[in-house]
Amino acid sequence: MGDQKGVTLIEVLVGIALIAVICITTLNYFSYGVGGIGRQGNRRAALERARQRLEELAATNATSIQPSDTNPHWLTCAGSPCSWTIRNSVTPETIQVGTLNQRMETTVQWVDDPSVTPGITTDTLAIGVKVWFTSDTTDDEYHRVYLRTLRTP
Amino acid sequence: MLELLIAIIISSIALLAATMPFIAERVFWNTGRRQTEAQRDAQMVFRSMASFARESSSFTTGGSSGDVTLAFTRASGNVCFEGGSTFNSGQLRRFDGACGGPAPTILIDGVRSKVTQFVVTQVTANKLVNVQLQITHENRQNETLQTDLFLRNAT
Repeated sequence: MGDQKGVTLIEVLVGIALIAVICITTLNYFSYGVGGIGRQGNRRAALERARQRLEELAATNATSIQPSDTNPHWLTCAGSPCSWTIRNSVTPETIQVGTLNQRMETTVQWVDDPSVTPGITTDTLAIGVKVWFTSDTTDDEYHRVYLRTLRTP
Repeated sequence: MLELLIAIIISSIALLAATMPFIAERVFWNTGRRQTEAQRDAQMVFRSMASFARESSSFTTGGSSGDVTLAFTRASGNVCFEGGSTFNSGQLRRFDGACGGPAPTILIDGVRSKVTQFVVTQVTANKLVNVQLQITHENRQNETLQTDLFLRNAT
């Protein structure tokens, strides 16, 4: 046997084991990719909810969302159409994103737009909407969408 | 010969074992693709509606639960969106003019993607309308999106 050519059972088994390891590693990448598609789906749903909030804010009377000072304020909506409450501390809401209940934050702040009323620093409202699409509420682009716009009163 | 037979048997078992995860991965992959395409189709409908809603001064809703209409009144010509689970096998169309008019634009074709739910709810008369759209892609993947549309030129 020693001088015969060919492969031994051990060599075949080692080969199969190597292929199995490579297959499992590849499958992990597939799973990661599929998980990413799922997260992207939740992100799209969150984006629509954020857009929905901006539409609600665009449609509302501007006087009902004006803060009393130039600090950031948080808005919450009750009812339909929205009845707005303004608070000066972080006030999250819970909304349905797809099939999940997620966190939403709506902020409003006076800012200066030189093209609107020169010299007046509180002539424009900066509106921001954050909607999370993961259970992790880390405040970054991997966990929430953030849409911003300006509105003149 | 015996070694070769054992190697073939072991290889066959290993291949069979590996087949199941690959089949599962294919199912996951197709699920993800359908989900993405269903949401993309729904988003395209929303963007189309939003672009006309911005220019409109008022809107009206009508139809039945399976065949809903959302019509916008514009200075440059009215536009109607019609769709639902019973409308042309789940289509959603845009008519330039009155609902049911000639030469519509098909937004959801009812074949590749189908509308399984199209709900239009007035939030504020002639100013803000809520739209919920559920799309089924390749008869398997349901995705629901909802948004509000603001009529900037509302009277």
